[in-house]
Amino acid sequence: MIIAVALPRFSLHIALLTHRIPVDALAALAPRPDAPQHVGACTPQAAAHGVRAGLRVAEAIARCPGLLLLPPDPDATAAAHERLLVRLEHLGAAVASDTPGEACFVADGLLRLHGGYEVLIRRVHAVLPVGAMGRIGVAPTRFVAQQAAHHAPTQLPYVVTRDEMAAFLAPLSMHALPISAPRAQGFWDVGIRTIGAVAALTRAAALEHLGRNELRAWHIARGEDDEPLLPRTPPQPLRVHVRFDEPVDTLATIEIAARILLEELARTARTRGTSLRGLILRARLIGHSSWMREIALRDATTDVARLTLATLPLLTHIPAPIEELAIDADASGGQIAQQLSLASLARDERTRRTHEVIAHIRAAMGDGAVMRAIPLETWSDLPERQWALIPYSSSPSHTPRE
Amino acid sequence: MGTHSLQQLTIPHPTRVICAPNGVPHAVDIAGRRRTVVAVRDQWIAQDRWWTDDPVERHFYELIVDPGRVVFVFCELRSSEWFLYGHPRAAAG
Repeated sequence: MIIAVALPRFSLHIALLTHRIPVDALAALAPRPDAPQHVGACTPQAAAHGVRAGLRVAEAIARCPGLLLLPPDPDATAAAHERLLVRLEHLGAAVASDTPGEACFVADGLLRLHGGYEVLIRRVHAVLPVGAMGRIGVAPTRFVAQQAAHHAPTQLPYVVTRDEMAAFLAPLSMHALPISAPRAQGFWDVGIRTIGAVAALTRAAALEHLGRNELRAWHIARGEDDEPLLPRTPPQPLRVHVRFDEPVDTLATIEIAARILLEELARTARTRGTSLRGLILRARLIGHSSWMREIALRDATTDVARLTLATLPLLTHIPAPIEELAIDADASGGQIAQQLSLASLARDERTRRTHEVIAHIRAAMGDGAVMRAIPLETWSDLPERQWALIPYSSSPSHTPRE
Repeated sequence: MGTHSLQQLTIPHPTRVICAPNGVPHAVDIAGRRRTVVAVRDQWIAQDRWWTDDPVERHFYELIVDPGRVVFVFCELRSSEWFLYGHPRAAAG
Protein backbone atom coordinates (compact mmCIF):
# COMPACT_ATOMS: atom_id res chain seq x y z
CA MET A 1 0.00 0.00 0.00
CA ILE A 2 1.03 3.57 -0.65
CA ILE A 3 0.55 6.34 1.88
CA ALA A 4 0.05 9.84 0.50
CA VAL A 5 -0.03 13.05 2.49
CA ALA A 6 -1.51 16.29 1.23
CA LEU A 7 -1.43 19.73 2.76
CA PRO A 8 -4.21 21.57 0.96
CA ARG A 9 -3.50 25.05 -0.38
CA PHE A 10 0.09 24.69 0.82
CA SER A 11 1.55 27.72 -0.97
CA LEU A 12 -1.36 29.88 0.18
CA HIS A 13 -0.93 28.66 3.74
CA ILE A 14 2.74 29.59 3.71
CA ALA A 15 1.93 33.02 2.25
CA LEU A 16 -0.70 33.58 4.97
CA LEU A 17 1.82 32.66 7.66
CA THR A 18 4.50 34.86 6.08
CA HIS A 19 2.20 37.87 6.03
CA ARG A 20 0.68 37.05 9.44
CA ILE A 21 -2.86 36.94 8.07
CA PRO A 22 -5.52 34.70 9.65
CA VAL A 23 -6.17 31.49 7.76
CA ASP A 24 -9.88 32.30 7.54
CA ALA A 25 -9.35 35.66 5.81
CA LEU A 26 -10.72 36.45 2.37
CA ALA A 27 -7.42 35.82 0.61
CA ALA A 28 -5.96 34.29 -2.53
CA LEU A 29 -2.51 33.96 -4.02
CA ALA A 30 -1.65 36.80 -6.36
CA PRO A 31 -0.18 36.00 -9.77
CA ARG A 32 3.53 36.50 -10.35
CA PRO A 33 4.33 39.68 -12.25
CA ASP A 34 5.53 37.72 -15.29
CA ALA A 35 2.63 35.23 -15.29
CA PRO A 36 -0.95 35.47 -16.63
CA GLN A 37 -3.03 37.60 -14.29
CA HIS A 38 -5.02 34.79 -12.72
CA VAL A 39 -5.39 34.26 -9.00
CA GLY A 40 -3.97 31.15 -7.38
CA ALA A 41 -5.35 29.08 -4.53
CA CYS A 42 -7.83 30.82 -2.24
CA THR A 43 -9.15 30.28 1.25
CA PRO A 44 -12.53 28.52 1.73
CA GLN A 45 -13.99 31.85 2.85
CA ALA A 46 -12.95 33.46 -0.46
CA ALA A 47 -14.22 30.42 -2.33
CA ALA A 48 -17.62 30.96 -0.70
CA HIS A 49 -17.73 34.31 -2.53
CA GLY A 50 -17.15 32.57 -5.86
CA VAL A 51 -13.37 32.97 -6.06
CA ARG A 52 -11.47 30.00 -7.40
CA ALA A 53 -7.96 29.30 -8.62
CA GLY A 54 -7.46 30.34 -12.23
CA LEU A 55 -9.99 33.18 -12.11
CA ARG A 56 -8.87 36.45 -13.65
CA VAL A 57 -7.75 38.95 -11.02
CA ALA A 58 -10.34 41.57 -12.02
CA GLU A 59 -13.16 39.03 -11.89
CA ALA A 60 -11.99 37.64 -8.54
CA ILE A 61 -11.98 41.13 -7.02
CA ALA A 62 -15.39 41.85 -8.57
CA ARG A 63 -16.80 38.73 -6.95
CA CYS A 64 -15.10 39.38 -3.62
CA PRO A 65 -14.33 43.10 -3.15
CA GLY A 66 -12.46 42.58 0.12
CA LEU A 67 -10.18 39.92 -1.35
CA LEU A 68 -6.56 40.06 -0.17
CA LEU A 69 -4.11 39.12 -2.90
CA LEU A 70 -0.95 37.69 -1.34
CA PRO A 71 2.28 37.48 -3.33
CA PRO A 72 3.47 33.86 -3.29
CA ASP A 73 6.67 33.04 -1.41
CA PRO A 74 8.24 30.17 -3.36
CA ASP A 75 11.40 30.10 -1.19
CA ALA A 76 9.48 29.72 2.03
CA THR A 77 7.20 27.16 0.38
CA ALA A 78 10.16 25.13 -0.84
CA ALA A 79 11.79 25.28 2.60
CA ALA A 80 8.58 24.16 4.32
CA HIS A 81 8.13 21.39 1.76
CA GLU A 82 11.71 20.24 2.31
CA ARG A 83 11.12 20.14 6.07
CA LEU A 84 8.03 18.01 5.48
CA LEU A 85 9.95 15.55 3.30
CA VAL A 86 12.83 15.35 5.76
CA ARG A 87 10.46 14.62 8.63
CA LEU A 88 8.83 11.83 6.61
CA GLU A 89 12.27 10.47 5.71
CA HIS A 90 13.15 10.42 9.38
CA LEU A 91 10.37 7.84 9.74
CA GLY A 92 12.33 5.67 7.32
CA ALA A 93 10.18 6.43 4.29
CA ALA A 94 11.58 6.67 0.77
CA VAL A 95 9.55 9.70 -0.22
CA ALA A 96 8.44 10.70 -3.71
CA SER A 97 7.03 14.15 -4.32
CA ASP A 98 6.26 16.26 -7.36
CA THR A 99 4.13 18.98 -5.82
CA PRO A 100 4.84 21.21 -2.82
CA GLY A 101 2.76 20.08 0.11
CA GLU A 102 2.26 16.57 -1.23
CA ALA A 103 4.30 13.41 -0.77
CA CYS A 104 3.81 9.68 -0.90
CA PHE A 105 5.76 6.58 -0.03
CA VAL A 106 5.42 2.82 -0.02
CA ALA A 107 4.39 1.72 3.45
CA ASP A 108 5.05 -2.01 3.21
CA GLY A 109 8.65 -1.89 4.36
CA LEU A 110 7.83 0.33 7.34
CA LEU A 111 5.07 -1.72 8.92
CA ARG A 112 7.35 -3.97 10.98
CA LEU A 113 9.54 -1.03 11.88
CA HIS A 114 6.63 0.95 13.31
CA GLY A 115 4.35 -1.88 14.40
CA GLY A 116 1.54 -1.74 11.86
CA TYR A 117 -0.54 0.73 9.88
CA GLU A 118 -2.22 2.30 12.85
CA VAL A 119 1.02 3.35 14.53
CA LEU A 120 2.65 4.35 11.24
CA ILE A 121 -0.24 6.60 10.24
CA ARG A 122 -0.33 8.11 13.71
CA ARG A 123 3.35 8.94 13.38
CA VAL A 124 2.85 10.37 9.89
CA HIS A 125 0.10 12.56 11.30
CA ALA A 126 2.49 13.67 14.02
CA VAL A 127 5.09 14.93 11.55
CA LEU A 128 2.62 17.03 9.55
CA PRO A 129 2.84 20.75 10.32
CA VAL A 130 0.45 21.87 13.03
CA GLY A 131 -2.41 23.91 11.65
CA ALA A 132 -1.77 22.96 8.03
CA MET A 133 -4.81 20.64 7.94
CA GLY A 134 -2.72 17.76 6.62
CA ARG A 135 -4.61 14.78 5.24
CA ILE A 136 -3.56 11.19 4.64
CA GLY A 137 -4.72 8.74 2.01
CA VAL A 138 -3.84 5.04 1.78
CA ALA A 139 -4.36 3.02 -1.39
CA PRO A 140 -2.64 0.41 -3.56
CA THR A 141 -1.60 2.94 -6.23
CA ARG A 142 -0.07 6.39 -6.07
CA PHE A 143 -2.82 8.22 -7.92
CA VAL A 144 -5.60 6.70 -5.81
CA ALA A 145 -3.66 7.37 -2.60
CA GLN A 146 -3.20 11.01 -3.60
CA GLN A 147 -6.88 11.40 -4.44
CA ALA A 148 -7.80 9.69 -1.18
CA ALA A 149 -5.60 12.15 0.69
CA HIS A 150 -7.34 15.07 -1.03
CA HIS A 151 -10.73 13.74 0.05
CA ALA A 152 -9.73 12.60 3.53
CA PRO A 153 -11.00 14.32 6.66
CA THR A 154 -8.40 16.21 8.66
CA GLN A 155 -8.04 13.78 11.52
CA LEU A 156 -8.54 10.37 9.89
CA PRO A 157 -6.82 8.65 6.98
CA TYR A 158 -8.89 7.74 3.94
CA VAL A 159 -8.12 4.10 3.16
CA VAL A 160 -9.11 2.73 -0.26
CA THR A 161 -8.59 -0.99 -0.79
CA ARG A 162 -8.06 -2.53 -4.21
CA ASP A 163 -11.71 -3.66 -4.30
CA GLU A 164 -12.94 -0.15 -3.55
CA MET A 165 -10.77 1.66 -6.06
CA ALA A 166 -13.20 1.67 -8.98
CA ALA A 167 -16.09 2.90 -6.86
CA PHE A 168 -13.86 5.56 -5.26
CA LEU A 169 -12.51 6.89 -8.56
CA ALA A 170 -15.74 6.78 -10.57
CA PRO A 171 -17.37 10.02 -9.33
CA LEU A 172 -14.15 12.10 -9.28
CA SER A 173 -13.62 14.79 -11.90
CA MET A 174 -11.60 13.67 -14.89
CA HIS A 175 -9.56 16.89 -14.45
CA ALA A 176 -7.74 15.07 -11.65
CA LEU A 177 -6.19 12.73 -14.22
CA PRO A 178 -2.74 13.59 -15.56
CA ILE A 179 -3.86 14.72 -19.01
CA SER A 180 -3.12 17.85 -20.97
CA ALA A 181 -5.62 20.71 -21.14
CA PRO A 182 -6.62 20.08 -24.81
CA ARG A 183 -7.33 16.41 -24.07
CA ALA A 184 -9.35 17.35 -21.00
CA GLN A 185 -11.30 19.86 -23.10
CA GLY A 186 -11.90 17.11 -25.67
CA PHE A 187 -13.36 14.86 -22.97
CA TRP A 188 -15.47 17.72 -21.67
CA ASP A 189 -16.84 18.47 -25.12
CA VAL A 190 -18.09 14.92 -25.61
CA GLY A 191 -19.65 14.78 -22.16
CA ILE A 192 -16.98 12.77 -20.37
CA ARG A 193 -16.79 14.51 -17.00
CA THR A 194 -15.74 11.88 -14.49
CA ILE A 195 -12.95 9.38 -14.07
CA GLY A 196 -15.58 6.65 -14.14
CA ALA A 197 -16.61 7.75 -17.63
CA VAL A 198 -12.98 7.66 -18.77
CA ALA A 199 -12.54 4.19 -17.28
CA ALA A 200 -15.62 2.98 -19.12
CA LEU A 201 -14.05 3.75 -22.49
CA THR A 202 -12.69 0.89 -24.50
CA ARG A 203 -8.95 0.89 -25.08
CA ALA A 204 -9.47 1.85 -28.73
CA ALA A 205 -11.70 4.79 -27.78
CA ALA A 206 -9.24 5.92 -25.09
CA LEU A 207 -6.40 5.67 -27.58
CA GLU A 208 -8.39 7.81 -30.02
CA HIS A 209 -9.07 10.51 -27.41
CA LEU A 210 -5.77 10.49 -25.58
CA GLY A 211 -3.20 9.34 -28.06
CA ARG A 212 -0.46 6.93 -27.15
CA ASN A 213 1.44 9.45 -25.05
CA GLU A 214 -1.37 10.04 -22.61
CA LEU A 215 -2.95 6.61 -22.62
CA ARG A 216 -1.53 6.10 -19.13
CA ALA A 217 -4.34 8.32 -17.83
CA TRP A 218 -6.86 5.69 -19.00
CA HIS A 219 -4.93 2.98 -17.14
CA ILE A 220 -4.86 5.18 -14.04
CA ALA A 221 -8.61 5.72 -14.30
CA ARG A 222 -9.08 1.95 -14.34
CA GLY A 223 -6.87 1.56 -11.27
CA GLU A 224 -4.10 -0.03 -13.31
CA ASP A 225 -1.39 2.42 -12.32
CA ASP A 226 1.46 0.01 -11.80
CA GLU A 227 4.25 2.51 -12.33
CA PRO A 228 6.67 2.19 -9.39
CA LEU A 229 7.30 5.15 -7.12
CA LEU A 230 10.53 6.92 -7.77
CA PRO A 231 11.60 8.25 -4.37
CA ARG A 232 13.89 11.24 -4.29
CA THR A 233 17.50 11.09 -3.22
CA PRO A 234 17.66 12.87 0.13
CA PRO A 235 19.96 15.89 0.07
CA GLN A 236 23.41 15.27 1.51
CA PRO A 237 24.45 18.26 3.53
CA LEU A 238 28.08 19.32 3.61
CA ARG A 239 29.40 22.02 5.89
CA VAL A 240 32.70 23.83 6.07
CA HIS A 241 33.56 26.81 8.17
CA VAL A 242 36.45 29.02 9.06
CA ARG A 243 36.91 30.89 12.32
CA PHE A 244 38.84 34.09 12.66
CA ASP A 245 40.95 34.93 15.67
CA GLU A 246 39.55 38.42 15.64
CA PRO A 247 36.56 39.90 13.79
CA VAL A 248 37.26 40.46 10.11
CA ASP A 249 35.85 43.53 8.46
CA THR A 250 37.68 43.56 5.14
CA LEU A 251 35.86 42.15 2.15
CA ALA A 252 39.07 40.83 0.58
CA THR A 253 39.78 38.62 3.58
CA ILE A 254 36.22 37.32 3.67
CA GLU A 255 36.36 36.56 -0.04
CA ILE A 256 39.58 34.60 0.38
CA ALA A 257 38.06 32.62 3.23
CA ALA A 258 35.01 31.91 1.06
CA ARG A 259 37.24 30.73 -1.79
CA ILE A 260 39.03 28.33 0.53
CA LEU A 261 35.74 26.94 1.80
CA LEU A 262 34.33 26.56 -1.71
CA GLU A 263 37.44 24.69 -2.82
CA GLU A 264 37.07 22.37 0.14
CA LEU A 265 33.38 21.81 -0.60
CA ALA A 266 34.03 21.10 -4.26
CA ARG A 267 36.87 18.73 -3.45
CA THR A 268 34.78 16.82 -0.91
CA ALA A 269 31.84 16.57 -3.30
CA ARG A 270 34.11 15.25 -6.07
CA THR A 271 35.60 12.73 -3.67
CA ARG A 272 32.12 11.49 -2.81
CA GLY A 273 31.17 11.30 -6.47
CA THR A 274 28.50 13.98 -6.11
CA SER A 275 28.07 17.61 -7.02
CA LEU A 276 26.64 20.67 -5.34
CA ARG A 277 23.05 21.74 -6.00
CA GLY A 278 22.79 24.66 -3.62
CA LEU A 279 24.72 26.66 -1.05
CA ILE A 280 23.84 28.49 2.14
CA LEU A 281 26.24 31.19 3.26
CA ARG A 282 26.26 31.83 6.98
CA ALA A 283 28.32 34.39 8.86
CA ARG A 284 28.45 34.84 12.61
CA LEU A 285 28.70 38.54 13.25
CA ILE A 286 30.13 40.32 16.24
CA GLY A 287 27.50 40.97 18.86
CA HIS A 288 25.92 37.48 18.71
CA SER A 289 24.00 38.08 15.52
CA SER A 290 24.21 36.26 12.24
CA TRP A 291 23.68 36.67 8.51
CA MET A 292 22.52 34.10 5.97
CA ARG A 293 21.95 33.88 2.23
CA GLU A 294 20.80 30.93 0.14
CA ILE A 295 22.13 30.24 -3.33
CA ALA A 296 20.30 27.90 -5.66
CA LEU A 297 22.68 26.74 -8.38
CA ARG A 298 21.11 26.39 -11.79
CA ASP A 299 23.01 23.17 -12.45
CA ALA A 300 24.71 20.89 -9.98
CA THR A 301 28.43 21.58 -10.16
CA THR A 302 31.81 21.18 -8.50
CA ASP A 303 33.44 23.89 -10.56
CA VAL A 304 35.07 26.27 -8.09
CA ALA A 305 35.00 29.14 -10.59
CA ARG A 306 31.22 28.85 -10.96
CA LEU A 307 30.70 28.46 -7.23
CA THR A 308 32.86 31.52 -6.64
CA LEU A 309 30.94 33.52 -9.22
CA ALA A 310 27.67 32.69 -7.51
CA THR A 311 28.95 33.30 -4.00
CA LEU A 312 31.33 36.24 -3.81
CA PRO A 313 28.89 39.01 -4.87
CA LEU A 314 26.65 38.14 -1.92
CA LEU A 315 29.45 38.69 0.58
CA THR A 316 29.16 42.44 0.02
CA HIS A 317 25.82 42.29 1.84
CA ILE A 318 27.36 41.17 5.14
CA PRO A 319 26.42 44.01 7.47
CA ALA A 320 29.11 43.77 10.18
CA PRO A 321 32.56 42.32 10.95
CA ILE A 322 32.39 38.54 11.12
CA GLU A 323 33.85 36.04 13.55
CA GLU A 324 33.08 32.92 11.54
CA LEU A 325 32.14 32.13 7.97
CA ALA A 326 30.41 28.86 7.11
CA ILE A 327 29.03 27.40 3.92
CA ASP A 328 26.43 24.64 3.91
CA ALA A 329 25.98 22.77 0.66
CA ASP A 330 23.50 20.29 -0.69
CA ALA A 331 25.70 17.67 -2.32
CA SER A 332 22.94 15.52 -3.76
CA GLY A 333 23.80 16.25 -7.40
CA GLY A 334 25.10 13.54 -9.68
CA GLN A 335 28.68 13.08 -10.69
CA ILE A 336 29.75 15.70 -13.18
CA ALA A 337 31.17 14.21 -16.34
CA GLN A 338 34.56 15.60 -17.22
CA GLN A 339 34.89 16.47 -20.88
CA LEU A 340 38.37 15.50 -22.01
CA SER A 341 40.07 17.54 -24.68
CA LEU A 342 41.67 15.88 -27.67
CA ALA A 343 44.80 18.04 -27.56
CA SER A 344 46.70 18.47 -24.33
CA LEU A 345 48.51 21.78 -24.25
CA ALA A 346 52.07 21.92 -22.97
CA ARG A 347 51.04 24.37 -20.26
CA ASP A 348 48.31 22.02 -19.09
CA GLU A 349 50.80 19.18 -19.06
CA ARG A 350 53.23 21.19 -16.92
CA THR A 351 50.41 22.08 -14.55
CA ARG A 352 49.34 18.46 -14.35
CA ARG A 353 52.87 17.30 -13.56
CA THR A 354 53.31 20.05 -10.97
CA HIS A 355 50.13 19.00 -9.24
CA GLU A 356 51.27 15.39 -9.36
CA VAL A 357 54.55 16.28 -7.67
CA ILE A 358 52.74 18.34 -5.07
CA ALA A 359 50.39 15.44 -4.39
CA HIS A 360 53.39 13.16 -3.83
CA ILE A 361 54.99 15.65 -1.44
CA ARG A 362 51.77 16.06 0.51
CA ALA A 363 51.28 12.31 0.66
CA ALA A 364 54.79 11.86 2.05
CA MET A 365 55.01 14.87 4.37
CA GLY A 366 51.45 15.92 5.10
CA ASP A 367 49.13 18.68 3.98
CA GLY A 368 51.26 21.36 5.58
CA ALA A 369 54.27 20.56 3.42
CA VAL A 370 53.09 22.66 0.49
CA MET A 371 51.43 25.95 1.23
CA ARG A 372 50.11 28.79 -0.83
CA ALA A 373 50.74 32.42 0.08
CA ILE A 374 47.72 34.61 -0.40
CA PRO A 375 47.42 38.38 -0.04
CA LEU A 376 45.19 39.51 2.80
CA GLU A 377 45.64 43.22 3.54
CA THR A 378 48.62 44.16 1.45
CA TRP A 379 48.00 47.81 2.26
CA SER A 380 48.38 47.23 5.99
CA ASP A 381 51.38 48.67 7.84
CA LEU A 382 51.61 45.48 9.90
CA PRO A 383 53.54 42.77 8.04
CA GLU A 384 51.74 39.93 9.80
CA ARG A 385 48.43 41.14 8.37
CA GLN A 386 49.63 41.45 4.77
CA TRP A 387 49.99 37.80 3.74
CA ALA A 388 48.81 34.42 4.96
CA LEU A 389 49.42 30.78 4.21
CA ILE A 390 46.81 28.21 3.28
CA PRO A 391 47.25 24.54 2.35
CA TYR A 392 47.89 24.27 -1.35
CA SER A 393 45.04 22.99 -3.47
CA SER A 394 45.09 22.19 -7.15
CA SER A 395 42.17 24.45 -7.94
CA PRO A 396 43.29 27.20 -10.30
CA SER A 397 41.44 30.02 -8.54
CA HIS A 398 44.60 31.77 -7.35
CA THR A 399 47.89 32.58 -8.87
CA PRO A 400 50.28 30.32 -7.00
CA ARG A 401 53.07 31.96 -5.04
CA GLU A 402 54.66 28.87 -3.55
CA MET B 1 34.16 18.38 7.08
CA GLY B 2 37.15 20.20 8.31
CA THR B 3 37.86 23.56 9.75
CA HIS B 4 40.45 25.75 8.10
CA SER B 5 42.35 28.62 9.53
CA LEU B 6 44.65 31.00 7.79
CA GLN B 7 48.22 30.69 8.96
CA GLN B 8 50.18 33.86 9.42
CA LEU B 9 53.09 34.15 7.06
CA THR B 10 55.05 36.69 9.08
CA ILE B 11 54.92 36.04 12.79
CA PRO B 12 56.65 38.36 15.26
CA HIS B 13 58.53 36.65 18.08
CA PRO B 14 59.51 38.34 21.36
CA THR B 15 63.21 39.16 21.54
CA ARG B 16 65.66 41.21 23.60
CA VAL B 17 67.14 44.34 22.12
CA ILE B 18 69.91 46.39 23.69
CA CYS B 19 69.47 50.04 22.82
CA ALA B 20 71.91 52.91 22.70
CA PRO B 21 71.12 55.93 24.89
CA ASN B 22 69.43 57.58 21.92
CA GLY B 23 66.98 54.63 21.73
CA VAL B 24 68.39 53.10 18.56
CA PRO B 25 69.02 49.31 18.71
CA HIS B 26 72.62 48.44 19.43
CA ALA B 27 72.36 44.66 19.67
CA VAL B 28 69.65 42.01 19.13
CA ASP B 29 69.33 38.58 20.74
CA ILE B 30 68.69 36.10 17.92
CA ALA B 31 68.32 32.41 18.73
CA GLY B 32 70.17 32.89 22.01
CA ARG B 33 73.10 34.75 20.49
CA ARG B 34 73.67 38.45 20.76
CA ARG B 35 74.18 40.08 17.39
CA THR B 36 75.61 43.56 17.15
CA VAL B 37 73.78 46.01 14.94
CA VAL B 38 76.06 47.06 12.10
CA ALA B 39 73.70 49.56 10.52
CA VAL B 40 70.12 50.79 10.64
CA ARG B 41 68.81 50.61 7.10
CA ASP B 42 65.43 52.09 7.80
CA GLN B 43 63.07 52.94 10.60
CA TRP B 44 59.45 54.06 10.75
CA ILE B 45 56.52 54.29 13.12
CA ALA B 46 53.24 52.55 12.32
CA GLN B 47 49.93 53.37 13.97
CA ASP B 48 47.15 51.00 12.96
CA ARG B 49 43.82 49.68 14.13
CA TRP B 50 43.35 52.81 16.22
CA TRP B 51 39.61 52.46 15.60
CA THR B 52 39.49 49.18 17.55
CA ASP B 53 39.87 48.28 21.23
CA ASP B 54 43.32 46.95 20.43
CA PRO B 55 45.23 49.75 18.70
CA VAL B 56 48.75 49.16 17.40
CA GLU B 57 51.63 51.60 17.75
CA ARG B 58 55.04 50.29 16.71
CA HIS B 59 58.50 51.60 15.94
CA PHE B 60 59.96 49.45 13.19
CA TYR B 61 63.66 49.03 12.47
CA GLU B 62 65.25 47.35 9.49
CA LEU B 63 68.69 46.41 10.79
CA ILE B 64 71.84 44.85 9.45
CA VAL B 65 73.31 42.70 12.19
CA ASP B 66 76.62 41.02 12.48
CA PRO B 67 77.72 39.28 10.25
CA GLY B 68 75.63 41.03 7.61
CA ARG B 69 72.09 39.66 7.88
CA VAL B 70 69.04 41.91 7.51
CA VAL B 71 66.46 41.57 10.28
CA PHE B 72 63.23 43.39 11.09
CA VAL B 73 62.47 44.28 14.68
CA PHE B 74 59.92 46.55 16.22
CA CYS B 75 59.22 48.04 19.59
CA GLU B 76 55.62 47.91 20.80
CA LEU B 77 55.43 51.48 22.05
CA ARG B 78 52.58 50.86 24.49
CA SER B 79 54.41 48.06 26.31
CA SER B 80 58.02 48.81 25.31
CA GLU B 81 58.45 45.16 24.28
CA TRP B 82 60.63 44.17 21.35
CA PHE B 83 59.72 41.67 18.65
CA LEU B 84 61.65 40.07 15.83
CA TYR B 85 60.04 39.10 12.54
CA GLY B 86 60.62 35.60 11.22
CA HIS B 87 61.76 32.50 13.07
CA PRO B 88 64.75 33.31 15.29
CA ARG B 89 66.75 30.37 13.91
CA ALA B 90 66.09 31.48 10.34
CA ALA B 91 67.03 35.01 11.25
CA ALA B 92 70.19 33.71 12.86
CA GLY B 93 71.16 32.17 9.55
